[in-house]
Amino acid sequence: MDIFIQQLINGLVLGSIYALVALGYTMVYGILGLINFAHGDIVMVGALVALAVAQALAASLLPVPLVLLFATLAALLVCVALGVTIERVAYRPLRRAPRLAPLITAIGISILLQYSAALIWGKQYISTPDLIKPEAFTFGGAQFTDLQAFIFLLACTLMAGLLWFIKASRIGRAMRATEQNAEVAGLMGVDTNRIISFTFFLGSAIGAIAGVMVVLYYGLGHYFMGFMLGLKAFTAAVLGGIGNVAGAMLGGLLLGVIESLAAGYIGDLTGGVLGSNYRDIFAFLVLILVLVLRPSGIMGQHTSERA
Amino acid sequence: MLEVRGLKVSYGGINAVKGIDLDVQDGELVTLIGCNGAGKTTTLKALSGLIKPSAGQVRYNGKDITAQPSHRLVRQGLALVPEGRGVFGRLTVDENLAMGAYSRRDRAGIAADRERILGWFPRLAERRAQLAGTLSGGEQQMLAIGRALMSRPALLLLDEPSMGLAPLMVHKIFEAIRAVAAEGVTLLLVEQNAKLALEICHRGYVMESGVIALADSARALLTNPQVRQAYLGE
Ligand SMILES: Nc1ncnc2c1ncn2[C@@H]1O[C@H](COP(=O)(O)OP(=O)(O)OP(=O)(O)O)[C@@H](O)[C@H]1O
Ligand SMILES: [Mg+2]
Repeated sequence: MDIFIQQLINGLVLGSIYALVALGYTMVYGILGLINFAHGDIVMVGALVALAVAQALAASLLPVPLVLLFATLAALLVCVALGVTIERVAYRPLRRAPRLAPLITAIGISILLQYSAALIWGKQYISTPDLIKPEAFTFGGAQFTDLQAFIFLLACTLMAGLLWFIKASRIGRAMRATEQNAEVAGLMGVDTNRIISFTFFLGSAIGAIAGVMVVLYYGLGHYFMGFMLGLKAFTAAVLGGIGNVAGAMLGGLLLGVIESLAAGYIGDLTGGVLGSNYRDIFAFLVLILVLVLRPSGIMGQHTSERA
Repeated sequence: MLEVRGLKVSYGGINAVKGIDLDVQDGELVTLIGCNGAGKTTTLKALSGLIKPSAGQVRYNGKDITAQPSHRLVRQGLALVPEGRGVFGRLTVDENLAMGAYSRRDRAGIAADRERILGWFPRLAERRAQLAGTLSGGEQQMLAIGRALMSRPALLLLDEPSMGLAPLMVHKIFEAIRAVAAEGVTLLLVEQNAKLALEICHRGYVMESGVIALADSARALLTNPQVRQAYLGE
């Protein structure tokens, strides 16, 4: 039982990070029908920028919260600039091209970002400077840290804010309209190019925060970290129903929990043949199962549209 | 108000509109009729900035608007109710109307216009919180017209508002169109139902495979033997 609660907590924390990254995939897919394979790498760049800034400031006398704030701001700035520029330069000219063209471009951008990061920061693992010492609490026989609680609560706040924004704000409504019919949204006076830019802006900003969370949580960054994180977040988005914002949130949390529980029990289940280091296979098992059994995901759009 | 000169539009190699001239005066009701594939929708799309013409000029209130994208034209009072309605199916009726007013910032005016428009279309008023995708075809057409009116257009382009509707619903839609015109909105109406369109409009253009074949007053067109034979089913 203990291990269950423990892995549930770990899973929710991990899942909330997956959910934040998954939002970037799902929002762009919703509006452009494009799987932005570079998104995981944008998150990676955010993580490494935050690390670099944190390292540079660690020796200074600045208080830790300020160091973290500056690191996060730097990550936000770089990610947003990257996301918006990539859309403008790489995807927009291909808006009317066959779907394969932007997809291949996305993969190309992904590789470009990875090796640029490798050039700048090297290929080794980079560890987070000792800025924070997470304090542990016990709860029902399970342990969690204040860092975990912080990550989870911040992620939930961001998600609730995003849901509200999309539901109730003028721009949020324009985003949904553009997603459903860009041509008609244009007739309403929506500059759809700006809405698309804004979607990349939002996704990249949320991704930047997720990137900071990852380096804080694992204490490590790496030029290739965006690959696995991106694939898992993409899986989460598909699980929830790609294109559906609430679905990405649910899918992220679910995937985190599935992965953590499975990792907690895999040793027992396989009689010790497979250890928890095989945890990554579960995400892909989930991806394959969803694609085979229910490609539209949990909250996939089924609303019939007449005429 | 609207002057079109030598407008040409092509899709790849296909010339859908082959150089047409067309005028709409302030306060006029003008209809553009023609068979399937004549190029009516293409013309309206070019006028409202959805497709770029390959040649020709469109002037609106004396200004050249030929290359302007649609989102700028709404702000100048030119709105299109597209063929097939194009309501946002996963937005509610209210949200669709709010999208119609996207180009405006005057909250009080928007709210007043919404109530006025819902007053014209009681069926929509009863369904304000319903997703537009679940409305009937006729209700969707009302919503599409109401939504376009939310931008307070000076010139409204309508593309086949009666398409696919039962006679009673067609009647209601045309009543609404008349009411819109009575408020001083200038109209350019594309219709398959030539009789109805010519009955409510001042002037008409007949389009045939990408060119204007006839242009005359609506009354003259209604009695023109050619038109009667080809478009009024006689
Ligand atoms: N997106 C497109 N790509 C290629 N050809 C097109 C496209 N849209 C229209 N066409 C062609 O242009 C011509 C004019 O089409 P248009 O839709 O303007 O006709 P229409 O007069 O509106 O007809 P209808 O009464 O059936 O709506 C047709 O021959 C049509 O096949
Ligand atoms: Mg048409």
